[in-house]
Amino acid sequence: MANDQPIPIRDLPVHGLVDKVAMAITAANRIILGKETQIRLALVCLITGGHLLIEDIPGVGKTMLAQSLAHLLGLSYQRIQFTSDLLPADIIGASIYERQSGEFRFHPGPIFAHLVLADEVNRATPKAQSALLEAMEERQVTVDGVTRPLPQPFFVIATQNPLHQVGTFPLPESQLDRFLMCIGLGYPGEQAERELLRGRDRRELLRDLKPVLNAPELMSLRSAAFDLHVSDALLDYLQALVRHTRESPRYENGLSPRAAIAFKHAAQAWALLMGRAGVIPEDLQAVLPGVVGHRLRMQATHESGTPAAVAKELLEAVPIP
Amino acid sequence: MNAVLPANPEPHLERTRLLWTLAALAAMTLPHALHLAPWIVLTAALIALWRLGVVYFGWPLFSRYTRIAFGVLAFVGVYATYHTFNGPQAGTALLILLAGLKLMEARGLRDYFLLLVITLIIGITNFFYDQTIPLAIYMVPAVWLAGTALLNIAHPDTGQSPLTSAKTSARLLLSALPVALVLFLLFPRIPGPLWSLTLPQHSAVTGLSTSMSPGSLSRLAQSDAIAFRVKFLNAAPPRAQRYWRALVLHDYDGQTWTPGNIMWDGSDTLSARGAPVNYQITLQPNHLRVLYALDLPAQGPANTRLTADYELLTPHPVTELRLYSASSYTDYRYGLDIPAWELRRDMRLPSGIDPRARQLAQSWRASAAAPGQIVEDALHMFHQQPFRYTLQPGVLSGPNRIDEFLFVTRSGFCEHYASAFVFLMRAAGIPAHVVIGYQGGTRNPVDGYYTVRQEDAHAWTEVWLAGQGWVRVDPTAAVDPARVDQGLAAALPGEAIPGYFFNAHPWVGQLRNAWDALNNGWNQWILAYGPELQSRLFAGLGMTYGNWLQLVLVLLVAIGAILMLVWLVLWWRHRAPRPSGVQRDYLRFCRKLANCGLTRSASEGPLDYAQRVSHVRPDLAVSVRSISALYMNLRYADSGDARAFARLVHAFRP
Repeated sequence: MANDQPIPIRDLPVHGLVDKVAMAITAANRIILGKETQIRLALVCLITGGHLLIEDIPGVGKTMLAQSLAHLLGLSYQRIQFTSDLLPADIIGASIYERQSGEFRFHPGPIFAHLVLADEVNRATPKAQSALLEAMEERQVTVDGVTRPLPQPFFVIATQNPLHQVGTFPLPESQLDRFLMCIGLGYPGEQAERELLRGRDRRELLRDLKPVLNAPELMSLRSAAFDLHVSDALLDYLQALVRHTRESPRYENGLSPRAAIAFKHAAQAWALLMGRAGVIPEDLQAVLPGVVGHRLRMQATHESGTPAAVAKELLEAVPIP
Repeated sequence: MNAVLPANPEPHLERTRLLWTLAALAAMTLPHALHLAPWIVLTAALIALWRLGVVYFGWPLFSRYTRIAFGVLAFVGVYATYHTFNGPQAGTALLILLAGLKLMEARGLRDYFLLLVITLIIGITNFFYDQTIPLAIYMVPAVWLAGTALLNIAHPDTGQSPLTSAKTSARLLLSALPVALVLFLLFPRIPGPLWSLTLPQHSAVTGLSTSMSPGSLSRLAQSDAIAFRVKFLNAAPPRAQRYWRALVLHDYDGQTWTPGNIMWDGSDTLSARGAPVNYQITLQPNHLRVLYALDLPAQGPANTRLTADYELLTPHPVTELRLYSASSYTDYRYGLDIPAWELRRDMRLPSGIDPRARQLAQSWRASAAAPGQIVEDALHMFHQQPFRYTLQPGVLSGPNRIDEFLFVTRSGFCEHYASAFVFLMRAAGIPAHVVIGYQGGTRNPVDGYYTVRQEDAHAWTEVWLAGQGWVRVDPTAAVDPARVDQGLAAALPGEAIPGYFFNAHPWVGQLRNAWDALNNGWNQWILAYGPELQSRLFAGLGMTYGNWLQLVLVLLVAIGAILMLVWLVLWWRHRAPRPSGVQRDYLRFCRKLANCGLTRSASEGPLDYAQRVSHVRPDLAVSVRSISALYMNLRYADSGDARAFARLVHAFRP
């Protein structure tokens, strides 16, 4: 039947782009097996211009995800390995005296790329962390009094090892809020792991990957996502969810207005990726764990759950209006 | 990395609790300082200061033995001061000292909670002494402060701003107002005082006493305190007829007139002419068992007794404001058929004193043709000879006080004239007695009430003449007619009487009138609201007064109605928005599916639900999907045909 896909996007001009994104997702899915949701969430971050924090143990494919996204979307890519002796200049770059010309010349740091992978961000000192986070927020860096814009789009995937490890500096809550989403990758499923073990080396696959989109197309996807229709009924639901986090005694504090806006944008981007011209409650529900997981702290009196458990509880507590 | 734990928050909490409790306690105790022995409030203040020192400068806390010693001393001190533990003064003194004792050992939320409850009770006891507007106004912020303090010490969030709790406290107090009003209006009023609040004599207000001796009324005339207020329901009688009768004094011992034993309480027929004067009196507490009434009362309020002397007696002393109605006749005759032996009582004189007065009376008797002539002679003497009406008559000493007054000093206040006149009449063989009460009263132009002050206290006489019964004779009027016709101020132009200032400055006088009227309104509507007004309210509501079961029911219904109203307001504010037409149809669709065992959970989106249903019931998949898609279009994309959707839902048969 023709009309069983709700709110089809067919009529919107970005229709073709959305198909391309679907192709990119399929391609990425072949490299990072069984993680379609995470790939979609990462793309949602990319489209809305938010940054992504991946919290998981080493070796589950965080770097691979970042690299394949950069490849598929035709973006420049840099990786910064965070260590405890990392300095802000190692991220941003520095002005260095050049003998030939007799003047200082700015050598841009690895931050000057479309997609930056900040690996193990909680291992660096707060000083280095804040250099990155400032750049994320401002989308420009200032060195020696000169402000240099970062490329557009600019997108950071930071990875963080689980916090109960020695020698880490966990990001404070105010800085966690800078990340649109925080997701975990988790172990692959049985089937996916078997394929992983049988298949070719992932790096080779990555080399074969052809870009599907380019930066300007990503920017038009972004504006299409932000223009996506959001009905009052959906905002009612969104506000009910946010209100619950503020009024329920289970949480230390509720979601901020900034979080609410991020929530809406993420749902819009998700709906766009799902090929819908309007946002439905399922879109909110899909992005909710990534958006609220790192922003909500359970009260000390309540058992502290994983972000996924927090999100599940919140969803069950609030009926769809 | 270990986070540094915050320091134990208790000291900080303790400080907040102490400060708030002290503030509330101080506000509630302050008015008591006016009524209690100074050492009591001072002791409480010193303990409070010490507690502040404990918190701020680390002074040592009180040891257990200090506290026990203090407790014992408190009881001893109160007993030494008041000689009792009963009564409002000793009671509140103990309460305040015990609050101090609790303050010595207060620690932790529970203790401060208890202290604040005691504080509120101390606040209530302020009204034992004083029920005036200024105190009521003072108590409003005090109660508010106590409420704020309660909220502040009990609130788990110590960082909460005091302003927030002040607002909450105000909101709570305001929302309690309707219930308070209902309780005020409907809670059963017990006739007479609830507590036997007998304040010690030294602190009692000045007023009439049950006896009269030289100087007792002229002392009263120095006070402009209000004795009672009158509202005439019909035309007010002229000032010269406004004699307010309190007590009749029969016995004289050479110095003091007293009522004596009541010997005859038989019925008397009052023959009156003209229309009765009906009026309402708001009587300030006079601590007597007497209600004042216009001469001569024909009927008093319920629960009072009209004696043969036409005094209005109540079973209990009037210790709180009392409102009552009475009616009187100003043109009357009474005592015509009084037995002779009863008349003899009003002819007795102490033997062996005042020989010159007796002599004078004998000479009048010898020359007069009728008893009425003797009365005329006496009044004539007061009028013609240089008698002076004054507030400073000088002291009469020695056994022959009447002689001294009549022939030596010749200056006196109304009690001197009344006393001398009755003495002369009795000496001349005419039954006579003294009547004390008030004379006059000023109309307040603001509310039309007549105000009778202590300065209007007066003594006059009644003589018994055959065929006329008891006749009122006011010898003061013979000396100075202005006293009766125009009032004390006109009669004593040069003397410092209390109202002088207000008469000299009319502007200030108007202000006083306005303040009086305000106080009077307060008295009429708040303080005098007792059984009488309550029964009137009940009659107005069409209920019978005195049926306690009905009263309780009305109370419950009224309070229930208020709570219902509050609930309705809350419900209205927090009610869920009415579902739109599309939503209603979708819910109907969900109900239809729920009837087949496929209930949608509250947080299940339409797409997920449709997929689940399609999975379980493939036969329904097509229609469920299209209905859900249409619904999502309508509700989340604001496009589509709502009627078509309604039709689809209507036709949907799972």
